[in-house]
Amino acid sequence: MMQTTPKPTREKRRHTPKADLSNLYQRAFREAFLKLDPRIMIKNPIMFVVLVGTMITALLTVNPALFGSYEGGNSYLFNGLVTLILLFTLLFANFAEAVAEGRGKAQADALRSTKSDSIARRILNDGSLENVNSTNLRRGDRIQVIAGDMIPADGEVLEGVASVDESAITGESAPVLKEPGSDVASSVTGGTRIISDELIIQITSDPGQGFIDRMIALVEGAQRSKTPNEIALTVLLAVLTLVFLIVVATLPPIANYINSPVSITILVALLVALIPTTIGGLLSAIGIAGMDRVAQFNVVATSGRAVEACGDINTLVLDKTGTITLGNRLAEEFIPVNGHTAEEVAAIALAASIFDNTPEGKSIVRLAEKMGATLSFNPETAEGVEFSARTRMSGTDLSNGGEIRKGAVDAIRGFVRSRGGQPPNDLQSAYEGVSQMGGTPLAVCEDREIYGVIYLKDIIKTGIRERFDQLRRMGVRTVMLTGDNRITAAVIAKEAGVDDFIAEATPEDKIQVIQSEQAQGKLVAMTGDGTNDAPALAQANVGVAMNSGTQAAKEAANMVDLDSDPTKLIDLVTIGKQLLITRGALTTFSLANDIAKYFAIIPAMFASAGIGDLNVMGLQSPQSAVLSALIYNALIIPALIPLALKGVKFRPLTANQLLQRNILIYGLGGVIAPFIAIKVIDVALLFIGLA
Amino acid sequence: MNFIMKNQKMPLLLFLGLLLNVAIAPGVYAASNGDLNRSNAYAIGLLGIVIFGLAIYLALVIMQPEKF
Repeated sequence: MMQTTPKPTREKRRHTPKADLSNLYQRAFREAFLKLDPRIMIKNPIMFVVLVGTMITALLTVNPALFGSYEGGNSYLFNGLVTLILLFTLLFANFAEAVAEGRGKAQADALRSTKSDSIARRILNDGSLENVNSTNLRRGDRIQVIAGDMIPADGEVLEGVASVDESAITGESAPVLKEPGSDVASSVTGGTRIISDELIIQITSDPGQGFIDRMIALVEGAQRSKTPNEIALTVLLAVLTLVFLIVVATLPPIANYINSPVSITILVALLVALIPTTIGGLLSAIGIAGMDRVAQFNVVATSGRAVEACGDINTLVLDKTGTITLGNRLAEEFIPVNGHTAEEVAAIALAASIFDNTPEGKSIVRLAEKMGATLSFNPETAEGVEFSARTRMSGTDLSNGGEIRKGAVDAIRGFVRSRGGQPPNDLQSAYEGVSQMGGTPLAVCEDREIYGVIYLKDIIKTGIRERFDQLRRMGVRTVMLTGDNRITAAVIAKEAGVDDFIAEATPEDKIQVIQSEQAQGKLVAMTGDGTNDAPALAQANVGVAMNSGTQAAKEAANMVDLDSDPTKLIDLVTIGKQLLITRGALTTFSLANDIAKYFAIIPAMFASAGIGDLNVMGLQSPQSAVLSALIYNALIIPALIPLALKGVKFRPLTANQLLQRNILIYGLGGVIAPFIAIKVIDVALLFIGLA
Repeated sequence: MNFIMKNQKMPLLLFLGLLLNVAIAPGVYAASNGDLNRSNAYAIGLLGIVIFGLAIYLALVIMQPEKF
């Protein structure tokens, strides 16, 4: 069962990190300089080439005649300016990465502050207690925790019922009830605090391997490895860089041949302008920011690969209850059969539900009382019969031997037959009528007589249909799984707008659905919380476990939702797509920028060869053209940092529409923007006398 | 030698580069028809080695991108 309370909208679910971000930019500024270490820079091929270029121009600043091509009186100044601009290009790229990393580290620090060594009471084999340091606890140890204690490590509750404050990891201040043997409440997390009663817990993780430890490592980026898309993009960028390096390195003989020799400084400037420095400088920041956005939604991802996979998802497998409908079904109407009246059905339904403490049971009692129904027996002399998956009924046994039951229509039919009764003919039409309205029909009977059907109304979450429409436009197929009968499932599926459904589904059906979708080459995402969901979570390309779920589910999944809100899977798909779109948009922009930079530098390089017509921007001088192109190249990196960190605004469009839109904005925009910006910088350089 | 290879990789590469340039620089000087002096030729030789090194490095990135 999923958590059943309605959840706020996406923006409201985004929580402000508790992390301290006050010194983020100061720290990032310092980090930007530390990252100039060539051993760190070598991990970023494009910026490493810029670093080598900066070193060469720095040498030329000291000795302009180093390579024999002395440029005249202003070479010291020109070479120095080029070196300075290239250095700033490197610093801006490092700054972008450091800001993104800094946010993760601040979050890790906030998490780390929840961890502290404490004394735990370990239960020995003879049942006695031994005080040990929490760091000495091992997987399999049993411990006792009492009200006020910090739970020292992750574990499963073996005995006891207690309230636990999980606000340290979830941000949710309301305490959570923990008890053994339940799929939704039996796991506890180290670092949380027990606030009432006591629990006996079996430790499930060794020191340093707990949930919070893994979260810290992930948000800090310690386990960050390149995702498949990042690897593919790195190869593309390295290929482009290599091609431009060969082109630039072979230019001097051609230039000499046409009697228009070019200095090494201008060749370095051309190389840096042509290689995709913008995306090279922002690539890792985009990836880290993607992880950060997921963390802001209170979801912990085990890897960037999982976040990215969200963006490529083709099929979403969703539980009906809690995801598509509000968890609590409410009694809407009593439908009499067999000649009884609605009041009689209400009275029997009240009697059958008086010991039922589920939200559904309570809503039946409320509706019956509203219709004036009263109990015809003393509840103290009666006994409640609990619902079980085997009998699919619950009810009340009266002191005079009477049996009142409510439950699935088939189950009640069988019960009545077993008592020698005969189900009425109009029961089937009442059952079908309720199912066709998308409700769950529950039959009620006393001994061998069926009185009628309770219509339990499923309430579809507001806005869920629009969300599914958006997903469909993005090419994501939705499959609803429900334990309801086929007619009810079909009605709810139609109302909610899901593409497919599986009625009367068992947990095993989940894994079958996932496998069949994957066999067609699709990527599948699902949510789950129970131990029986673990195989399906492991099988899915993106498995999101609820934090309220079992340890087995959390370990099998590649994401854990700390708020235990299954609807968030839809948000995760959006975040994943946003990550991919942002990377694609900035790559397009970076490559499109090359055109303007090319037209700025090439005429400057071969000014004496009579190609002045190529100076389409009318730049003042060869020097100002090179400086303008490089200044633009440097400034565009910090200008795009907010976009890289925040992500391109997501729009629910088809892949083709998105491609057209991105080509128009970031492709065409990437061609036009630098023409204007370089011209403006050139005019500014003229104004300050550097042209 | 193994110890040097493991712990002093960068200085060793620099040394080998300079050593290689001893062979390359005279060639550059000879090809310049006297337009360059000896130190210019040596610097251009080193620049060529750096560019060649960068090309090898980028080829490695293309072949083993997950390491970068």
